Amino acid sequence: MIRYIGNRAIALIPILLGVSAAAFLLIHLLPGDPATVFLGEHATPESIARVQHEFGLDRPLPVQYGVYLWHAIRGDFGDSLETHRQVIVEFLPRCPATIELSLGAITVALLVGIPIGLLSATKPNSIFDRIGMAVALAGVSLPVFWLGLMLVYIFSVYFHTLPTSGQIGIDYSLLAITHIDVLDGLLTGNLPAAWDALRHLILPSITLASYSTAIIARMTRASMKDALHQDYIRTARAKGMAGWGVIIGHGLRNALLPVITVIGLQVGSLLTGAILTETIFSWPGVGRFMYDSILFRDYPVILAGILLFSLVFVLVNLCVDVLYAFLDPRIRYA
Amino acid sequence: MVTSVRLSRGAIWALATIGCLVAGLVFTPAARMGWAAQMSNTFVWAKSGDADTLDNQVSSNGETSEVTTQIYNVLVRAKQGRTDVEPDLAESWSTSPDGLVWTFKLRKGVTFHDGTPWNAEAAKFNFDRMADPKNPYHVTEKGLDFEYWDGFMGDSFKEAKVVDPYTLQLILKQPNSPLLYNLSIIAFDFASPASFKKYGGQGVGQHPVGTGPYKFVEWIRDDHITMEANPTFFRKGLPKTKRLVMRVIKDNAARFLALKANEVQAMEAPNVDDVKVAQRDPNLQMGFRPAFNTGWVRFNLNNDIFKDKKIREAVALAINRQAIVQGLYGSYGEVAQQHMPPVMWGRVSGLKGYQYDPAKAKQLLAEAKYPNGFSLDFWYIPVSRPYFPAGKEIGTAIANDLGKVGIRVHLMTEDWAAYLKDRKTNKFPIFMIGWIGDNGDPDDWLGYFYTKFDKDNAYYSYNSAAVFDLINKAKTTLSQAERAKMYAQAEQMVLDDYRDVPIAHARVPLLMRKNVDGLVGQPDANEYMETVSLK
Repeated sequence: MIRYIGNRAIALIPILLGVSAAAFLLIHLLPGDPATVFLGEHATPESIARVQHEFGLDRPLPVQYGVYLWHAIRGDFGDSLETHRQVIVEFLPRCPATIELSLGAITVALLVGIPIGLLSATKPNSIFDRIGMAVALAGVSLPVFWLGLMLVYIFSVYFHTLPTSGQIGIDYSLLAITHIDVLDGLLTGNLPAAWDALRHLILPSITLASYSTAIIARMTRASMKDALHQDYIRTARAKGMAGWGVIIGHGLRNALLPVITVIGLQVGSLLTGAILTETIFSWPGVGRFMYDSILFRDYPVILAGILLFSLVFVLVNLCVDVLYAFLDPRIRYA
Repeated sequence: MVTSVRLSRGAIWALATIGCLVAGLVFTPAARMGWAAQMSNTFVWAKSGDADTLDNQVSSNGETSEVTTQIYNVLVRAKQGRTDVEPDLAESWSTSPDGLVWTFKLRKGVTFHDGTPWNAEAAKFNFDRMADPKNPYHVTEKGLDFEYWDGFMGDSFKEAKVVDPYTLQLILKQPNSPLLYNLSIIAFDFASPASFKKYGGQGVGQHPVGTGPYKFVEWIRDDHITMEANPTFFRKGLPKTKRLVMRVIKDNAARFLALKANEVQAMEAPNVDDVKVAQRDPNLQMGFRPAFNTGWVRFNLNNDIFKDKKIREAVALAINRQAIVQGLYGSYGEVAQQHMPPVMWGRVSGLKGYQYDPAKAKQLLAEAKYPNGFSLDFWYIPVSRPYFPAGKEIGTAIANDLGKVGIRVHLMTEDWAAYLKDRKTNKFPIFMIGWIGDNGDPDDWLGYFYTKFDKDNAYYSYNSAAVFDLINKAKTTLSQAERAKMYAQAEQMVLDDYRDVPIAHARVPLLMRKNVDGLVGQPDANEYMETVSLK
């Protein structure tokens, strides 16, 4: 197992190199240059040349890539063209917000997706099944930005019950421990702030979770239906086990294995979904920063973001693979 | 066969309990109390983007100046809702006959937010910082520079001299008549010298200390900037709210929903559709920033086809600008007959402008040996700007008008970053672009467009020595009345040459809650929040 993990970790290096080279090339293939965007309509040729020189954008592309890699290996991802601060300094404080949102979304996806899949599988063609699958279809089909705005309209503007945007109300201040506001509120005993942070978290989490919830629900349903056909289910019933005991204890336990793989893959959609969700909800995380950076042609930030997202995606899937071995004793990695 | 299972009573109770908890979380009335801005003493303004620094001397970013206007003051400032200037930290001023010495009598009894006094020494400290690259505080964060200083003051400034504690002289190398208006730009603000010494040249960007109506409290990047009232502000009775919060909500629709939900009390840059919704909403009201922008169609005069004035005139007469403004600018556009908007002085008075006349346009094309018209690429801006709120739709309308006289247009566009770059090459034969003013001096407009020629640059492809001379002369002439005549004359010459086709000036809508009072739109988009109160 340790050797397996080691091999996978080593395989990260070519993956990240490939991702960085592809991203670097693609970004520079885009028309327009950041210096012009930075300076706007009033730019003079002199000021454009100055900004390009300051950020090394006037050097040949291979040199820029080489310099970038050399610095990146040492943890220096350059300076943001937009905020003028080190990229790493910009990313670090934004990470907890994205982690908070992702955790919220995963929680919603699991708490909603698995029960929907379970009910649909155990009561096929029933009203539960039809509604469940309709919800799943909607979750896959609805664009994130539309769903987000609709939720805000319904719950914030019409019912006046949940905040439209932000991570916490401007009237609350929190002592930062984990930088995850809900958690910090609980840890410091500041319950009103924790409550307010939780209320801010609901709509973005639902929005971000919509796609993953749908996928997990459909996967759970399919996997569960398959599991319920197995001999061990019939045997358990023959031995006199009650309905839900069989379903949860024997059916769901086996059916969840493929679902776990899907959850790992959903991290990718959560990260990309975070870019739009954070923008709609003014959530001060990495996703919104990435969105701005793309509009701004902020090359260093885009590159670092792509590398970060790739790293997270690969690591989460490595964890899922390892977890798989623990959950299913039949699987062993060489 | 799949086993069908009945939900047990326990399961139903469990589901019902979870449902009630979720509903309770979402719909609890108590929850309303925390988030909506309940305090009447707090005014929350929704911004469309975050500041890049709070040291405006090194920033040309509108998102920064919107904030710094509340924290700092300048020697003279634009009057509320206008572009002409009034005293701010200077009470009066005079100019020497040769225009090389400007003397400012400074306001007395003013202190910075840190308690240190405002005086001529403090003013000189700031001028020295901006002007002298060797000054220990003439340092910026990477990518920032003293852009405004270099652009508006650098070529004429010699030194700042303290005459007495409340008299400052600016000595110039050459006359710079727009100086007073230039100094009204918030980029020429005054920060506490003590703050430079405490935080350093770079640090003041995160620790702004000015003399303005609001004191800086905190800046949570990409989220909000909080300021509190300055009790010793020199304009008595102001500011009217105890706390000013500027929230960053970048998505236009999300910003509007925050306004409807009363989380913010006013916002800038709404979507055109949302403006219509706001007009029907009894809880909202509209305000406007006066039109301080102009959108125009620019000919690339380096392109052979547009070297013929008759063709340029034909294009100008073929575009139905009135219809475009009526149809695509909501109720807040007006047809532009010249480059500078009505809030400016130095305009041509009594101008009728180009009249829509497709028949004459056809005739002009025939005279130019194009009786059957011709084809060309027409470039429209890919983004919404105040002067072209719907770039594609306006471009399409223009293409349609040109098609009617036989000019077959291929509508083209590209990413905004690329567009800004390519407009200054010869890639575009004809394109849409515009201008948003920095201050109320005509030099900021005509002085930027018509003082040089570049054969490789569509933007500067107009070549008229007479116009260039006139505009350069106006910059060194002291009398404003004389200058106004010169700019008007230059503008008339440019219009007679059909250099551009001015399309529209547009007021910029601001949306606010009904209870907001005293929020007056500012032409340069830097509102004075000191007069805002909540009824």
